[in-house]
Amino acid sequence: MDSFLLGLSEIMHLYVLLALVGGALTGLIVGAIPGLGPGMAIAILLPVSFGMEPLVGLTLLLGVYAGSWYGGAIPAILINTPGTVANVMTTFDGYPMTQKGQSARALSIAYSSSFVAGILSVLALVFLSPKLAAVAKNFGSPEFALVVLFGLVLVVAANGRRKTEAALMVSIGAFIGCIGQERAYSTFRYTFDQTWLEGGVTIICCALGLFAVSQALELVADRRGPPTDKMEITGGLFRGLFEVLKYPVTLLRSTGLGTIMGILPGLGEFLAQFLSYTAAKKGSKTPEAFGKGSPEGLIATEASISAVPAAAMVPLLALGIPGEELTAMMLVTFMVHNVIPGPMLFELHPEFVWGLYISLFLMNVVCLVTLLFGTRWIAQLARIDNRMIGVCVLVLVMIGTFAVNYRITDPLIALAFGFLGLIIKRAGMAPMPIILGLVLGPLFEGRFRQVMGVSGGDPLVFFQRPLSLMLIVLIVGSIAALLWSERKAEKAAAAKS
Amino acid sequence: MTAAEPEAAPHDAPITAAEARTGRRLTGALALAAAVLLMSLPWQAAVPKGTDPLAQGWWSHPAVFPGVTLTLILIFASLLHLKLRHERGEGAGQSLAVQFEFGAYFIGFIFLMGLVGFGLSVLIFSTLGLWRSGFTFGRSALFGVILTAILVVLFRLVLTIWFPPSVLSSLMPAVIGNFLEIYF
Repeated sequence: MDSFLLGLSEIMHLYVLLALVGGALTGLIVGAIPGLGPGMAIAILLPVSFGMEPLVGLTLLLGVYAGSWYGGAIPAILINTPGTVANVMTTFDGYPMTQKGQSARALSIAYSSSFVAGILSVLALVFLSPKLAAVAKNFGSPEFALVVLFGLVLVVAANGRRKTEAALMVSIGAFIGCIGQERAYSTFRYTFDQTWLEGGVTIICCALGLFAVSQALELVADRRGPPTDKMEITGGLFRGLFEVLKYPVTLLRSTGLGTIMGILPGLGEFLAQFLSYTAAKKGSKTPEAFGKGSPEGLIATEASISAVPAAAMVPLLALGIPGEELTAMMLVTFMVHNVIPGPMLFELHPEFVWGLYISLFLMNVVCLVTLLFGTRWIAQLARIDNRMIGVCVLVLVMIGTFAVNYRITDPLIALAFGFLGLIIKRAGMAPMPIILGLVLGPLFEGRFRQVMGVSGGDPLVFFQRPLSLMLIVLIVGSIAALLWSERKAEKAAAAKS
Repeated sequence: MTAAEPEAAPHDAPITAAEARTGRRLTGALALAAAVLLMSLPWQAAVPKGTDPLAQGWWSHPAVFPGVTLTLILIFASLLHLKLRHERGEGAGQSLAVQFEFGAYFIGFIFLMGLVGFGLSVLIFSTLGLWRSGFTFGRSALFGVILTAILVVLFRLVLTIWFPPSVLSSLMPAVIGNFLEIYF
């Protein structure tokens, strides 16, 4: 109770409240504009968050993260264009409902499912992160090294048929993390005697390049113009608000799946919505309605993706290890302010942790209320020409990369990463695991060196502690489960054809 | 129109011929770069001169981790390159000409900032960028002016972000030069 009150007093500051509302609004807007996404917005806001108090900065970034999934449903439902990449499956049932003249019903179902899932996943965060942190208190370097390795394995595993591609991207990120000064010998690696490389490649340059520049370069070349479809919202948004409660099983199952996928490193929204939609269809009394405007289908996708942001904070807060690229960027905000996430955070800064919980809870309320009253205006943002957005993003990237270290080389590095990201995307691959490799690679190297140093170079130390042995079993089990599920899927596909 | 139902997660979607072609070039270039970087490992990740390379154990040698990651890049890039060799089909890839053109403008924008200052460089870049992307010059200029005004207020006046003094402001009379440096 004391911690809760401390947290409450933390967020009752003007700047935190402004960040709460500002972050949520930015997220809604970013989500509602097709072509933008939370990754790009977080990357742009990351340098801005460095100048803020940690709670203010993180609240802002989390607002963008959570708000964008809410906002992404608007164009997905109204004009069959997903606002963010995670809203692709929202179109499956959302747009057919609009075609039937039920756009307001579809929007309110989407909002209320997101809201319920958002709130439940915050409760999961409140309940699970201290428990995981308590377990992690017994962690030594071997366990932390293995948790990082587990994260890297899952990032690769989550990429379906594109595992080799993901492994390649993670390796690229891990190598980039090696550039610059290393700690053991204070020597420079892969700097080619260039002083501007001695500090290494910052995550800001990498994230802004991969997320923002690559997308902006696509947007400036997009001559299709803004969507011309009518964005009519027929009916009141309050009417369908409680309809989600008619499908409690779908709602809870999808929220649960989203929460689990958010907690497990590397999985995230894509897998959550896919599994959730498939499970909802299997469990439905009317599976034939899926893809033709089924409220259940809409609930399944929206609830699962909205449960992810809060759940993704569980490993970050409890272990200090980000599970996906967006929380990896948020870890940088922690680091800049010397707030070290992990088991000790709960003992040293309970007010910060509780402040974060409460702000995440309030964020869902802000998003829902804003959308209920402002959807008609927010929907119009989808009409902004992509080329204008592209030019604005490029200007913001220049400012964001330059303002961190006042180095002219940083915007150039971001541009190079932008082209790399663009080419990777054109090759049908996802560049985002690079960010995770960049964050987790150096973490693994540091922990591995510690373990080996303490054990005098004996790798058996990983097998001698019960917790680390358990983690090894978990890693091996995950790989085995993965290979098994893949083989099963291949067999099923072969039988089908 | 009824939306298609999902048959595969987004990352399980089949690869197109254009993607395979770009993928082949990319993975080939990555494998080559990894090989070259691996060869330079003894120079680029060396211990300081006169230091025993194994003084702190092999695991602490600066070359271990970059060596492992570069080897992984080489292996995965080569595997993918071989896999993509069999992916054939029709379909032209998209050109990168527009992107390179804007990349050049972006580089120009960075260097222009040192010459004419933050505000003017934003104005020139945004106007030129929008004009080259197909808008009329009038609309582009109007957009440029509005964007510049917003960004100058936000970043120079509210967040007071420092930008290097420009050559242009140093050529101006002191009063105007100082004004430009502080506010523009």
